Amino acid sequence: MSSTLPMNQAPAFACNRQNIAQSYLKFARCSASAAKLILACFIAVAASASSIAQDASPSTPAENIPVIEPPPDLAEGAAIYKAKCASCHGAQGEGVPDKYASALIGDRPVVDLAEVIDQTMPEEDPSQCTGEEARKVAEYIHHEFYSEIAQARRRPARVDIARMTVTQYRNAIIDLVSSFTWSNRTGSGRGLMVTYFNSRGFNPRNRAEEGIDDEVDFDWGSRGPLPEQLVFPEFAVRWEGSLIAPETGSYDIIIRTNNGTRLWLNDRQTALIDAWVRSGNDQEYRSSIYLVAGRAYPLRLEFFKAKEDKTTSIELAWKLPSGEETIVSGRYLAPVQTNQLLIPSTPFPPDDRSIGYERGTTISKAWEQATTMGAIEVADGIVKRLPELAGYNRDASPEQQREKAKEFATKFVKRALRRNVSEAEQKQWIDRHFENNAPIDNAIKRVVILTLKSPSFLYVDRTRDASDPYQIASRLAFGIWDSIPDETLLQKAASGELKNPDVQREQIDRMLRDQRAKTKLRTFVHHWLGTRHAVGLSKSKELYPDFDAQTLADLQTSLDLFIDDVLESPKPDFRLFLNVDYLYLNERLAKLYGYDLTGAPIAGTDSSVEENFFKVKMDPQQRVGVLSHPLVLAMYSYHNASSPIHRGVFMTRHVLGRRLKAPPAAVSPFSEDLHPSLTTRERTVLQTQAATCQSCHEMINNLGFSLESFDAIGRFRAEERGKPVDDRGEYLQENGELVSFDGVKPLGDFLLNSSEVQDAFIEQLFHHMIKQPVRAYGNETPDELRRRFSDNQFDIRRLMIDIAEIACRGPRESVAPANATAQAN
Amino acid sequence: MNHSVSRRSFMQTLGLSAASVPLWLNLQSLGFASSSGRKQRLVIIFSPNGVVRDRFWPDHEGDEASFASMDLKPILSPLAPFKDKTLVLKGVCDKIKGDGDNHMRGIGCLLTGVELFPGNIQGGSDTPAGWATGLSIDQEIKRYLQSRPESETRFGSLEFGVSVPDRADTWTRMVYAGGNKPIAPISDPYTMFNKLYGQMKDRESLNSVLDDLQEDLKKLKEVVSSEDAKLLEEHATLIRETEQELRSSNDNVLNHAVPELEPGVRNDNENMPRISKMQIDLMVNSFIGDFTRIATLQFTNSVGQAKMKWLGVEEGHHELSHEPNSNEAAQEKLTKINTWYCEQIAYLAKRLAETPEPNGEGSMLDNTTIIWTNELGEGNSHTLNDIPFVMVGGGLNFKMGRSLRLPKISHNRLLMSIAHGMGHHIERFGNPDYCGDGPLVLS
Repeated sequence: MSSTLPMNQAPAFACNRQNIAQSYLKFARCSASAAKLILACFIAVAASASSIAQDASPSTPAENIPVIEPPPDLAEGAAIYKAKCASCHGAQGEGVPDKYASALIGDRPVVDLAEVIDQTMPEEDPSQCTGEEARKVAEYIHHEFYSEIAQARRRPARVDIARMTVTQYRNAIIDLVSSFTWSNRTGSGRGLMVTYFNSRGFNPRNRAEEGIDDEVDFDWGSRGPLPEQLVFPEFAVRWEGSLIAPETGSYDIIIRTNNGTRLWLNDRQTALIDAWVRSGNDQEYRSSIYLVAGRAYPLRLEFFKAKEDKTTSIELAWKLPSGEETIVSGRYLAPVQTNQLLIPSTPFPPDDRSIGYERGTTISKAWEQATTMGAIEVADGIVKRLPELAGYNRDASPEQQREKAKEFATKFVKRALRRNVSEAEQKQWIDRHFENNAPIDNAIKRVVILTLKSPSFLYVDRTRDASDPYQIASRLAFGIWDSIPDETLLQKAASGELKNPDVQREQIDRMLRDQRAKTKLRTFVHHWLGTRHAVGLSKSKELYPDFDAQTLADLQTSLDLFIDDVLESPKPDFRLFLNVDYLYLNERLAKLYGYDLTGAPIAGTDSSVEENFFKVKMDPQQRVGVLSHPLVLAMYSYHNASSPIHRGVFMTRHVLGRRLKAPPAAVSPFSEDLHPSLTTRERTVLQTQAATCQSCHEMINNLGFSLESFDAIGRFRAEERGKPVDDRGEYLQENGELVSFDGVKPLGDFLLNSSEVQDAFIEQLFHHMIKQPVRAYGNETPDELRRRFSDNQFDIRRLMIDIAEIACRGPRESVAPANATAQAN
Repeated sequence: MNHSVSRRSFMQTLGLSAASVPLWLNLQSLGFASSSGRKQRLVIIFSPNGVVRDRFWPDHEGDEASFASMDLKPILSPLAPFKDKTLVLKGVCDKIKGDGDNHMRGIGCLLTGVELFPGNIQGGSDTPAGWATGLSIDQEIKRYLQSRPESETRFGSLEFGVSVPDRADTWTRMVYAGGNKPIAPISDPYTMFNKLYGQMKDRESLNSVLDDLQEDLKKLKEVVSSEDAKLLEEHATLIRETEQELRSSNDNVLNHAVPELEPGVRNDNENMPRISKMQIDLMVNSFIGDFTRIATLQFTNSVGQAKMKWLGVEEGHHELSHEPNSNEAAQEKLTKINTWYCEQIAYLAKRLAETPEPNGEGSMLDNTTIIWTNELGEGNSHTLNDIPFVMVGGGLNFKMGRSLRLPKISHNRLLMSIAHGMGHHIERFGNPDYCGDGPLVLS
């Protein structure tokens, strides 16, 4: 009998899911910096092979993670059970017909169980099993099969019914409503179109000049932007285009100006900021707006100088949902006007991420209420734009309007449910609400509320019928886009073509070109690297006075530019993450990190140049792979010192996909002041030298040490505290082979060729896309995916195709129970 | 008794914390909480461009007896049925100086009693200006009422508009929540309706689809495994809870039927009379439901250009108001326009007079004072002297049925009397330099 946890059991904490989600909520409110002080050894047990929890980052709070007590020595209990209990209860507590048929399943704690056994068991002679013996049996059955946790652990990996995650819900709403309007793409251009006028208004006759501005950040002093042409006492400027949101959440949009200004964002009628009247000393105007990541929102900004205005200036800035306030960079602007989107901003409770990826397998009262608020919000938004969405004019006759509105409602229901609607459903879901000459707005509202609250809309995987082409369409759309199928997919489903594997691949290929797929993959890379928590990262002002909010923003741009390099390539090569030998730097970063920009090529492509950033070649002995990107290194560091433990845990869990048990106790890091002569490495060794620590820290530390040549902000260092840096590390592979590496280059070489690294990446990507355990699609699926990944030269795009293809055919009907394949950890 | 108990703590005392009252249910039901004592209400109605003086002002001062025997001038004649409840104040002047032309200061300082900020909005003369530097009297009184549990209401104040243009500048804003914080009136009755009754409608809609949701869940349950069915059962339970909450929350609340709005009335100049009636009806309903004790109603804007074709007036109002007194035809048209505005005041007064005070004494007009005012004393001279202030109704406990002539007093003093009439005893309001001698005594 194994004394450690069996592997491969996805929903091990099924019973705890709700609590876990709640404690995430709690954590979100607590200070990240305080949490960072908790030693990384608080990284808890990952429940299963599928659980590379994204929360290995230093900010993971201890109390969020379910902690499993190390299993007691159960051998004795097992023996007693076998001898005295199994004849009636079955070998695994499954019950024995005619004796005790029910399974031994329940929620009593061990002490209760022991008491019951002591008093009542075995039935024929309760004195046979008492006291210590009873307790041992209780411990054994509780751990093996009685408790809810044990039950969950024993359940085979399976596809659980799941509602949309919050991200999927928002995307679904946006795409559903947008399917009734025109839409266009932003293209590759950046910045905003600008038009200057020789007057305080925007009469086309007074147009003076046009162009593209990369950003809006101007101080024209007492003159105009174009001195020769705009010597007029009054002039006006209009910027138009789109704003692209890099993350989801509530943004502050900020305009600073000495003059009059107005801004429309994702709403052509009502201005988000109306400061056309300059009054008193007001010079800063801000307004919040909820935006969803990866989407472009139409933007128009107007400005005028009145005769009396002495100076002219304007800035367009924003504050990201959890970030710093900066001028809106040209990276997030496009000179093309897209169409307005209906963004549902109703707050939803966060999704369960307890096993490493967001899933919709639980519901709660708060969620139910949010679906109501969300449905009402969307219904209001639709009614406001009904003529546009339903395609009629306000001048149309009431009969025509009613007819069009009904047509809209029918299509709306079909697209939302992602299938055909029967005649009976047509009557019940749509026609009924239009009866008795009900006002159109009321009818539409009811249809929308019913549809958006219906389980048929909210649940993603709704039938076990693997051959239903509509189901295939839904799986593809949610897997690749986190959204509902578009018209093309629904047509292919209606015609049955989608059952054909060739058509599936063709559709997957098409879908991967869509911005939504790119956004999803980009989000995943940040999830894999743990860098989406980088916002708000701060470092000791004494030790690193130059590391400020701007540095952090620069580092984020630097990493994004690199990720673009990988992902925008026609064959995005996974290996580039591990062997990249250049870094994008601007002057500020080059100075801080000690590099020379001379001769380095400018970043970006021809159509989209990232001004000020240069591609700087690294000495691979010093820095190689994305793990040695300064942002990644700074993330996994303390504010005043590097952290081999954070770095090691990150590598163990994210990069190598290994599981770690819960630490036996919460420990604070040793203060440097107590050991002023020790290097970080020496201090770490001292702290974790106890045998109880070493079972995990042997692996963690020795991985982390190999990055010791980088300080807390990811700057290269040859020595620390006057001693040369010791960056020797080693790793005991799952196959039992020990590999050692002296520093970052050999580490990179090892990771580049490690099948563990590939497995971890594949599994995490699968879970990010599909949100169901990979083994539910066959125990051999991970190996099969790795084989194909390798055959395809580690092309991430091809990997996504493979994943989508496997997942769209649905789960394997008969998967062996996890126990059968369990291995000791 | 501690009067500063907020509604929130009141609800907590009853055990109705936020956790037990779902978000989408908890607003409408607040109407009931605060119905102790007499409900005093204030309505301020604005129309622009001054009046035709000799067809507006009563010939002389008059106490209750002599005013009763006096004939009202043509513009005020619609108020004849409410003469004993009417108070006409002549001699109140807007003395605020500073930036902005008379139209801008006329509307911007009217209820605020303070100067405008310097700014970039240029009128026909004088220096450019921005927004007012302080809050308006209705908002001051609103704050006071909202701070006391016995007078706290769901909205505190409602800002109605009729044909207010869709642009934000000094000429279109009369109400201010504070310096540089103008409040836009709602000119679209459907928008106002949604503000007042939207949630009630949403709850009806929600209620109407709950059975269908259960039906859909049932169907879905048939095609999933028994393990997955557990989640769907949980879902069904949650929907049942929603249903129960809806039912129990429908038991309290609204003391009047949700009004039916005539559908599809376009918000344009031609429809001004219909919109005006719709807005006034909504206002009366909001008083019946005690959604608010303060309302403002702004007809058009300062320099407003309503074209009252239904009166046979083709020209814009502001354009006409510049015509000299000697232009008899223009004065006749201006008289018609102003009489039409007065008819709106009279319609509101009539609706209130016909409505018994809910849970109280007398009619709603006995507890409501309507104040009709204007940005200017006269259109062609652009004077800020003798700003029209005509009051109807008993909300402020003023002595009504009179015509007063005041010695060119600053209008800040009147603003203070209004606050005092509503029980809010402030010693100064707006620019203190214009508050000398304190509130006018009108009771």
